[in-house]
Amino acid sequence: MLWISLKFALRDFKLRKFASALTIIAIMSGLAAFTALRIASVSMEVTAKYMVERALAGEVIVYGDGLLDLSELALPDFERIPGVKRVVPLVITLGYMRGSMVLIVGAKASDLQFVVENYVAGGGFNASDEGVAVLDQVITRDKNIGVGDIVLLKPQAAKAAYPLRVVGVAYVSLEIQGMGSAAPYVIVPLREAQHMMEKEGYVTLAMLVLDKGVDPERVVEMVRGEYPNAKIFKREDILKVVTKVVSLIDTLLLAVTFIGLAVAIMGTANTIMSNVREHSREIAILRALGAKGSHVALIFILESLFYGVIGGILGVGLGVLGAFSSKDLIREMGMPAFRLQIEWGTLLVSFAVAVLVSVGSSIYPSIRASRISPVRVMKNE
Amino acid sequence: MSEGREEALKLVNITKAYQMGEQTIEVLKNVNLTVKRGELLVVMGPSGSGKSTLLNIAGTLDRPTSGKVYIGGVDVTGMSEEELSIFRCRHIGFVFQSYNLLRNFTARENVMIPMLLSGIYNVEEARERAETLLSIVGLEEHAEKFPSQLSGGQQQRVAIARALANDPDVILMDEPTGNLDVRSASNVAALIVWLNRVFGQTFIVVTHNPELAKISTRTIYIAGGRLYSEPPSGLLSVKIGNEVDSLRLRNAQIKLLQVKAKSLLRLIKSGAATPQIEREVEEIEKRIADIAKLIEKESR
Repeated sequence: MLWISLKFALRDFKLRKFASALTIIAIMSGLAAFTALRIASVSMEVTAKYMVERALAGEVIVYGDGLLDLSELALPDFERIPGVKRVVPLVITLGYMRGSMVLIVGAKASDLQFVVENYVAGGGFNASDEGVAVLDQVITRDKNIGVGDIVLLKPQAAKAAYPLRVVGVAYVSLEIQGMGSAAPYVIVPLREAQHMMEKEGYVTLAMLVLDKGVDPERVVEMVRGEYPNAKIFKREDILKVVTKVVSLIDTLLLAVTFIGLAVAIMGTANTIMSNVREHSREIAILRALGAKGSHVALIFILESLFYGVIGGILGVGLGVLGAFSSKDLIREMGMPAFRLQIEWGTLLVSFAVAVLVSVGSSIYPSIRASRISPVRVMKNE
Repeated sequence: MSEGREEALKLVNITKAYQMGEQTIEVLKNVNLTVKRGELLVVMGPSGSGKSTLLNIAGTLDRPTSGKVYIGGVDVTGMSEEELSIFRCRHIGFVFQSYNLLRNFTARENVMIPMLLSGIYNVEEARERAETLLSIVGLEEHAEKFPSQLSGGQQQRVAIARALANDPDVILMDEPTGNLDVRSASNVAALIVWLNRVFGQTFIVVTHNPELAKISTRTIYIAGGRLYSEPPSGLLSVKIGNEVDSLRLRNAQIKLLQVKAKSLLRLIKSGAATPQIEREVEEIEKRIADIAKLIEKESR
């Protein structure tokens, strides 16, 4: 029967070129939007998680009490908590460099790995270095600054500007400057930052890097036990919030693409329904010759499957192209840039949606077709 | 049992009634018919006599209101739709007035379809058999052609080859020559006779063409939902006689002409008249006068 159904469907498909093309276009366009937005949302989610994980190297982040900074005296207490592998103290403040706002990050030389992903030029600083800085490649590109140059950095709260020698240009993959008010990084030694801020002995926050398998909640409870007024965040909580926001965006985007998919469903159902009407006599002939209802239904499901497979392949291809365009568009709109995550899973899901849309929309017409009585073959004589 | 095997088709006390509102219309009334293997039975009857319903029931396309249908000795009356599909495919062949070939399939493929539906043959076997069947009906050269590329007679021969595909117990034909010219009809009739005599194939041919009755091994008649072995009186005669009220018809004709004349006069008044319309009005007036004279003459 598959032979008959395939021939019937294929020849009908060829004969009704215009209707077939329109149906394929309907599926293709609906699916292209779905694929593009799916890729974009997966990419955004992955990028957002990556950004959070990179920005927050530690699983637990401890701030001081209210507006106050955290005393360095607390750091050994944190180090003593079982399961805490490392404590990374950071001073973070805003400043200006060559007329642009920058994010000053004070870090120990030994903790640079938690702030910088890789160096584009030069390298990090040593614990004994003074008056040095590692700059974000964004500002070095914009301001034409190179390794060895002397730059003036003025923290927002300080009265004076400090000359710094650039020892390295870093690639900060998270490009956090794209997020709202955040600005390019200028990384200086921790002591240097404390000195600039006139806050020796204090840090803005401490990131606690935990041993594998340690429950962050337990560490949070222990920190809270000793420092009840400290503000404590878990990275997983921040990740949850980010995931929630991305999911919300994802849901909204999906809702939009469902309109396109609904058009594809209606278009396919309409084409198959009109095929059934047009072939009602031939269906009756087949039934009279001994075809079962399921045989007849198979013809139209197969025909619909052709539309789905062709529309699916074209739609997925077009969707990938669309995702590249949407990436550029999102960047132009000033939103955070993201790396496109084109995964086989996403493409397969999109293709499966095309197949489901096409086969699903053929169910009702196919049932109608299977119910055509063989007696009609005589009545229409 | 052996008697059953000798019977290609047996209808026992078949009644078919349709409900039209509150009225019940009996299309077949207690029909009994036995067709032996190798018979070429022609069933003759006018339109509305119930012959198509008889064919539908004999072919399991429709179910009787009461009675039993046996095909090749098997009682098919209680079978489900799915069972009937399989049974129909393997035991019954159909030939229709308008050929009913599948337009998107070649002649060969049309013949292959019942074989593939039967589940007995694979594609290769079905193709081989289809080619043999097409050569039997003299169409081996046309195997690759689509129905639209064949003449009516050729299409009907493909339909006959298709009906033969699964070696059916009986082939049911509904006006097989109804759409054919005299020459093609004669060829198809000759093929039916040949298949009956040489192959021993059983045929039931339903028709109102008296020419087909000449090829039968037996002819029966159907009128008013009943079967007759002899033509019932007045079966095919046209009754135009005293019961027609000629005065009423002539008055109706005058009325029709008067309405037409009135409409044409309105056109003349509106200025849209052409010389042809004016001539037509004159013609109508003349015809009305002639009919009036005829009525007057008949009433004397």
